[in-house]
Amino acid sequence: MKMANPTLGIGIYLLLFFALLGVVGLEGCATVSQSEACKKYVACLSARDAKLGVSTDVKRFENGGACWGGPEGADLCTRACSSGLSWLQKSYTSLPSACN
Amino acid sequence: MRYKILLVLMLLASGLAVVNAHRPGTIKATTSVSNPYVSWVFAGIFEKGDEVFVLKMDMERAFAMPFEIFVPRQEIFRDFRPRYAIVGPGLPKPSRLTQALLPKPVPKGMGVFYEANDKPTREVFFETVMRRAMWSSGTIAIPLQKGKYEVWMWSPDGDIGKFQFAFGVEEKFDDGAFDSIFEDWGLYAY
Repeated sequence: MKMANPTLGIGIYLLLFFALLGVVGLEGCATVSQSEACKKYVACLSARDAKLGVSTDVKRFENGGACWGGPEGADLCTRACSSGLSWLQKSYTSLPSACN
Repeated sequence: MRYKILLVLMLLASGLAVVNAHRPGTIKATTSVSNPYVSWVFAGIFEKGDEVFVLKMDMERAFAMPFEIFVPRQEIFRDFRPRYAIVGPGLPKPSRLTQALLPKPVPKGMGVFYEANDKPTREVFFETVMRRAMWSSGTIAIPLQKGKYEVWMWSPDGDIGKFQFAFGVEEKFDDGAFDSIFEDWGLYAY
């Protein structure tokens, strides 16, 4: 069967595609809340910094940081914070209580 | 034909819509990181298996970020597990056992984070720009202090193959960020 108006056919495909792209794009840009693992990691480093007299830049892991711009990055950061906190606990003997 | 062109455009645009990427670089012997505060992926290859690649990072301020090392998820690399160590100030002093596992001595006064890359089951990471699956050592956030750091990468069993070392979170893609992909295409598109 021949389509009555080929331009209209392509137009419908384009419309559906851009609607889908909008949904995917919004999902990709969706912000995610700071994870519990990164809350703990940031709290630990903050307490450790106070003890050492330094100031570590942890902005990416903080609430609203670059980690929480989408699900993929958020998952990576959450795993990194969890492993990072475990490593701190194993590697340093005199950590502040916020690191427990 | 018109539909094929449309399909290609749709696939390209779909890929761009979900990109979440590191800035690419190529590692050859010793390489300095120009801006260690943004996310990078450095690609390299163990051609002989006895190389020790060195990535130099000069931190002007204390900074915590994730690190991990990848190899292509291909059957021939099932047992390929390159290791890495971050060496610099503020990190724990290595034990004798750890020092024995490193490819060279840790300088006096410096500490080390050592990644053995020996988890029984490795994480699989799908890299969305080149659309390749990689095995990861597992990402870990390490706090660095102000000072000069080196990352040593080596292949403990002398295995050969391609690898990628990634770190950081914040993206920066201006000033020809993707040039090294086109210069060393084979390292990224395994």
